[in-house]
Amino acid sequence: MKLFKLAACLLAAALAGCAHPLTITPNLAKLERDGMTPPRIKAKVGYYIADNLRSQEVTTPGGGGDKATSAPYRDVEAGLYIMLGNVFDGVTRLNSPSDRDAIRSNGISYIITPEILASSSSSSVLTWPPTEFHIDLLCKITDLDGKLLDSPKVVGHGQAEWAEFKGDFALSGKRAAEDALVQMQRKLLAERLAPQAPQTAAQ
Amino acid sequence: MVSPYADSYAAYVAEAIKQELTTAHKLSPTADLELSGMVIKNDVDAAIGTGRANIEVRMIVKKAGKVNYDQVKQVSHQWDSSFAGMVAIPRAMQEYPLMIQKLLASLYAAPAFLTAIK
Repeated sequence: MKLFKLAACLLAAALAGCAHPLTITPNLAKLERDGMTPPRIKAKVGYYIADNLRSQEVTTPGGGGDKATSAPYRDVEAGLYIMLGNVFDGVTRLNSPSDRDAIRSNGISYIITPEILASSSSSSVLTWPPTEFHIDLLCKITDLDGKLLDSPKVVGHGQAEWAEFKGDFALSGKRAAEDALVQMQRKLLAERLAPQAPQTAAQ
Repeated sequence: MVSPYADSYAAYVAEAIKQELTTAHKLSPTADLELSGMVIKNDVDAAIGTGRANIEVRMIVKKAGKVNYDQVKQVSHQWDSSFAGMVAIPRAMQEYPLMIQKLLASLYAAPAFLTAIK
């Protein structure tokens, strides 16, 4: 009996150390432009996410003393691409911030470097999925000389209760990512950058 | 694990390509380029310690009905897995799309594919 209790304790301790993997990719269909969206900014942009960030996993609190793991850059990137395409005339993924070939061939005027932070919590002591999720999204916008032009920041918030997330444990995270991207789109379209001359192959 | 697209992993790969082309505004029902394919091998193993998956797909590009590209692409993918099924299985489900991304990236980077779609 003692052996059984010890084994049960060891198993419980080992499971408590496991973080549950979550994919927080937002619903991309909800990020499409609609008739109310202001016109695009007449400029093409490139965005850069370092490979080590793309694969970076973060562990944040869930419910009942448990934890959840997500990869915010990897999961938000597709939504970021769509959101930037809603704001600007063209979007290109850059392999490096000084990817001159891509910058020239795509007529890019601005480079956007996102910074994404994820945090979560849960009001439940019985279930592990987070009921609250926050995505802090900052977009550093620079010109082709690396001069910082703007760095808008938003905080996306997602909430989900058991009745909703029992079919999708990552629901609060997905909602937070969607909220952050929608807010950032609104902010970028409202602030509208001053026109910059695109770099061309002749330069 | 079951594919969310008609219970078919071929449909899953097709949907991944469709979503990428749609996002890039490169998908058109009237285009003269046609991309098709066939899944030859598709394995996922959420084993204790290291999870592994591999996929082999035959990809065909036709331009105006003529075959410009017909090659088999194969990728493997591995990740840190867990002994606990409640962690290992969702992790495998999370890693499978990354393998498909690798598959498509290898296709888009293939010089013969790039020549075929010009």
